[in-house]
Amino acid sequence: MNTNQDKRSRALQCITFMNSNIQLRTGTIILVFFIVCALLVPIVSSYSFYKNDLDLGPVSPNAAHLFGTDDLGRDMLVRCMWGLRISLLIGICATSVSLFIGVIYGAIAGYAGGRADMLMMRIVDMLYAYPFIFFVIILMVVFGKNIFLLFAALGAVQWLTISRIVRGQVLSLKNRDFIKAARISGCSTLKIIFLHLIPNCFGPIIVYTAMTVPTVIMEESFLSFLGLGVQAPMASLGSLISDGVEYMETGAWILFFPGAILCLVLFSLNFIAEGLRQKIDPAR
Amino acid sequence: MIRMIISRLFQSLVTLFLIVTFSFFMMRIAPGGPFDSERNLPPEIEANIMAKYRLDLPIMSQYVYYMSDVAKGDLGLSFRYQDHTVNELIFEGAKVSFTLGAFALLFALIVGVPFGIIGARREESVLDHMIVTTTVFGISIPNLVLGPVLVMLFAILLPVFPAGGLDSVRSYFLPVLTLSIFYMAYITRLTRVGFIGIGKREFVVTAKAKGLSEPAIIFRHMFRGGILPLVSFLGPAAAGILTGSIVIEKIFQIPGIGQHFVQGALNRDYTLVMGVVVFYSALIITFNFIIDLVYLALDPQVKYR
Repeated sequence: MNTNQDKRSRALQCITFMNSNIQLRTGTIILVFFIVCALLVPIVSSYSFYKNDLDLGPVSPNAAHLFGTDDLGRDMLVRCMWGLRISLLIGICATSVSLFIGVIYGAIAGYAGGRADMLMMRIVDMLYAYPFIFFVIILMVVFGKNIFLLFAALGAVQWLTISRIVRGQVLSLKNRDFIKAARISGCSTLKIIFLHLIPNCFGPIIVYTAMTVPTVIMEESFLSFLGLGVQAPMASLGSLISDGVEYMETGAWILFFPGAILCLVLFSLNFIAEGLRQKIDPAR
Repeated sequence: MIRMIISRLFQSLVTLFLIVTFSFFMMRIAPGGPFDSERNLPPEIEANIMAKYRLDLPIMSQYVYYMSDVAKGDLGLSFRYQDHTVNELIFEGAKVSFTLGAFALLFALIVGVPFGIIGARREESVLDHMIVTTTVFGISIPNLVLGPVLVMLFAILLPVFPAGGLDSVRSYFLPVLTLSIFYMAYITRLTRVGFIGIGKREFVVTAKAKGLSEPAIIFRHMFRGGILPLVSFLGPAAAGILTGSIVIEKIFQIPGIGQHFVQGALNRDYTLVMGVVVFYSALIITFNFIIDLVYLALDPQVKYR
């Protein structure tokens, strides 16, 4: 597929690509910074995210606690970074689940065509009407507030749009000569779908994936904010913000840091998505 | 055209039926009943309670009863607030949530559409880039951050608006603003994309060539086609505003339908949660149906398909 023979290493190509657009560049720099912080800070720091220090209580940011401490004397920097870890993990896992379901579903519908396609897409239309966040909330209530369930549930509700996009792509690709050639040369249907059709939809898939990551991160923080997501003492950015709201008047920093981190991460992800859209899929 | 409307209507009803069925069985396979905390009740009282909620019947007949009640518009009794019907609770909350949601959507449209049109008509200008960049920020700020920040700024540091409740006209300002920012940004983007698409068409070029003024081109020739992407977004937007208002209601302590839902979910008040899901689904489906009709009326290409 890649016709221009680029002799540079993959990593260098990647960096050049990310550097080619201001939104991509800004987004990537902020995101990489936060990923590194989220990975390193809890390892380097001498504080833990769950250990209370009731004698200390809430103190505003200082040299010992850069982000201050919360009402139980826990270091906010470490807690924010743990929250960020959870949020990023949700972003990756839930998006992967949604990609997995959506791409396969859409590709099968598009390739099958006819009645099967119509039925499958009608189901997608119907599911669009379902208030999905309620479904996730019910799931969390019914099966307990389990973080892995949260990953799966958030992913399972995000696959609808990606399946539509992939179906549309497959529909326009499946009568092209290279697919006919594959079929004539005895390629099995599965092979055609997975080796010839799906790889050719990568452009729109990548763009949409980049848009899904901030969406699921936002939804997770929404659930945790309501107390229906990640449970204490583990923290996610949403639950930290929810704690912060309670101490808004006396300890603004408890709200400020998780809120600012969540915003910046979402900015960076949305900037990356916007940049990718401009580079890969400028028609939209 | 009529056939298409009827088939849409039929499809909507089937969807609603499936949603209710699915939610019902999800709730019934839930481990742990709503009365678990009251386990030490005498058995005869417990039997009475179970009978009151028809929980003593086999699941299929519970289902039949529930479906026939829902068809009549009765969502049953709340498990938790035992002297209230779910209808009452939903009706009380819906009044508040709808006012909030309607204002938010209206506000988002009033600001978003003009900016979208301006951006599209001055495509690639500095102003356009500013608008697009601002919308990325608008889309990225989650309302659970924006809400507390606005409260901190305009209710605590600078007490111009009340921090919570919905007692006066002024108290609507912060919640409506919080709820609408995301949709404002999104609507701006969609309008911009729609008008850019239309702006490249020949009839617009012709209109400009024959010397029509910019407002005449925009409103008489472009508007109908330009807002089509926006129209199809209104369905999901309404659904999103309804769910978004859950957070807003928590931040601003507003007794809306979302508060009921979260409380119901935490209390395992299954009838209430079911009721809210059924109610919202019915609402979203109805709204989508209306949007489809509007789309049909606006877009001549759909009519003849």
